[in-house]
Amino acid sequence: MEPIHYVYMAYLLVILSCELYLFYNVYLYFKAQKISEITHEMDSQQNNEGRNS
Amino acid sequence: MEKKLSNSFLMFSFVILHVLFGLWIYTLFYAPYEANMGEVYRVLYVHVPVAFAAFLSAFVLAFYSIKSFRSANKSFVIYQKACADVGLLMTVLTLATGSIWAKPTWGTWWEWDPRLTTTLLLAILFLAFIMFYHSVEEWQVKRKVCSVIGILIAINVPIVYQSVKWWRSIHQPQSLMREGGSSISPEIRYPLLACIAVMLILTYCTLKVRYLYLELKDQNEMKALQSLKGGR
Repeated sequence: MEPIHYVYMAYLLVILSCELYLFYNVYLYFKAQKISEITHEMDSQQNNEGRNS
Repeated sequence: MEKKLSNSFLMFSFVILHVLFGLWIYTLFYAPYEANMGEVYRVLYVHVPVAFAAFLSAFVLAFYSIKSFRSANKSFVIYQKACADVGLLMTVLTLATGSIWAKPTWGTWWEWDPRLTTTLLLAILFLAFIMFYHSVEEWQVKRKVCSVIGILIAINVPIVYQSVKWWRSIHQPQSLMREGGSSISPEIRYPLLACIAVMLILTYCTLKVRYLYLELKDQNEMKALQSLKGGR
């Protein structure tokens, strides 16, 4: 393997790791936010039903 | 009050990420050739910034460990977990890029050298933190054990940094920050310093995004637990 191939390997590894980790956490955050919104909606629906009955 | 990931912070993180990519493209194709090491020296532009990012994560972890030790605030422990996650990633990347650099220069992927061994110990400590965080159920025990490991991690950082000075090592000595000024030529040093600065900002952004996600996840879990208890 040529020396420059080691350089490409290191750059690719770091760039992919940093980018994927940041994007993955942003994705997880929005997924958790969606779950939080759904739970909140369900809670308020249950509260309304309880009040009506 | 619930903390949110704002669009402006998200935009800022992506801008920082792409500034770093721009710098790395510059260093890969336009930074000057180094006569002694040849092209392999370019690994320096990714290896050193990720090492500093690991150190930053360790210091922020220690800061929140001390805070968590003093007061039983759950968000401090969540911040500690975010630091340990990012710190582990950065330490593993430091070891991996170091190995990639070692193969063409030393002729081996790994050597039980003081710098490499102490960095491996740093990765193991980050891993130990994450394992304890997930395995200990009792909240107060988790807070204290994680804080102790967090402080141990921060103590290990100066040992990693000074290891090339304190013991005989085949790892190159400190060349960026040393007594008598840097031994790196300005054409190489300034892009390297820029890479380190931008990488540290990106690490801070990643830490914050990770923290916000972990906090939201924790809130969701608490709500689910409460509704389960209420349903019984």
